[in-house]
Amino acid sequence: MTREINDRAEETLARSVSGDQMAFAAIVREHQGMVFSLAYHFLRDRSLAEELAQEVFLLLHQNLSAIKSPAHLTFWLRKVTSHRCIDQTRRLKAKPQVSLDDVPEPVAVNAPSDPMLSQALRRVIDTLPEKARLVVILRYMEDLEPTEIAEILDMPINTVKSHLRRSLATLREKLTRCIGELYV
Amino acid sequence: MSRLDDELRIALRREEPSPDFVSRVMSALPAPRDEKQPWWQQLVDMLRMPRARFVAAGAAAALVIAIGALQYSRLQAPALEAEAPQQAARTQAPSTDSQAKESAAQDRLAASGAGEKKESPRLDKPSRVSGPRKLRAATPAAELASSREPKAAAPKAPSTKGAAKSAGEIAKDKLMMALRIASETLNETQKLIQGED
Repeated sequence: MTREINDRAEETLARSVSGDQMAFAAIVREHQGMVFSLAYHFLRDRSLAEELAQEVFLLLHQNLSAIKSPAHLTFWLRKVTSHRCIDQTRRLKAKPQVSLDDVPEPVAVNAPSDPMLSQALRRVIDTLPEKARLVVILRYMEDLEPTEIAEILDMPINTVKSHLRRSLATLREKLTRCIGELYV
Repeated sequence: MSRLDDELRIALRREEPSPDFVSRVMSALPAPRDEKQPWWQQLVDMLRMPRARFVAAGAAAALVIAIGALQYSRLQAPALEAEAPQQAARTQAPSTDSQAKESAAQDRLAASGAGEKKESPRLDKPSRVSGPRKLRAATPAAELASSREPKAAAPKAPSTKGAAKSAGEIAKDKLMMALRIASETLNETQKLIQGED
């Protein structure tokens, strides 16, 4: 089954490289969730995230001949989206970076998997430094290993692990203060 | 796995963009190039443009003129080569004529000089002396004049006439020969056909 899916993906990629617009549309449809989500969780703005995602796919269309396989395509999309997110933040200077100690504690909640908790978590993640934020997003949204994150962000693996450790520690501290030990 | 990890996964789950996202991306793509169109079709499309027609006509005219000029120069070259010796002959002939005139003048001078000398020696010396002198004075000029005559005639030798036969005439002869051979072959063929009938 996996082989069939992989073969289909290879065929779609090959057709899009040769100029098949329908094949390229299929690629966009398949990967739009990943690209958009990565941009949205980083920028916290839907319209900005869609605009960035569109730019990424336009860039993909120009560089289709450089894509070697479906796995390479996924890696390429993640890498370009991550770097574009950082560029966008620096360009807009939307949210100033805040020290983790200054982040306000989320409102106390009772139930697990509470939408309010998710919202609070997102708010805390939003105020993390750029690179640390991307590390956390790639780790928990895409379920990537530190080595993969290091390749995407062009970062040493120890730096990735350090970012992850410190960010989780801060998130845990903030949530513990708010929710209590049951949660963490 | 801690609950924080679970909550982070829930908080950071994938979300979909607006429903028309794909169509917006596709509409923003550049128009695809029609690579299937053959090169001659592209040329025809290009020539359909009004300005391109004039450019093409001008280019064609320039090409025709260039080819015509080249052919003209090629045709003129053998004629010029044939004329060159004739021109050389013409340039030499006036010089020989002038040399003949010079020699005649020298003869006259020689004759007049001998005559003058004749007068003085008449007073001082006997006439016998002037005779030989006169003869001696006249002889080199005469020799010069006589020797020059054949030289003057030299440029008019028949070899220039042979060179004047241009390459065009040679080609013409060859063409006539080829036509003759072709007509003979046709006649033979006709006879064979008539014989079979």
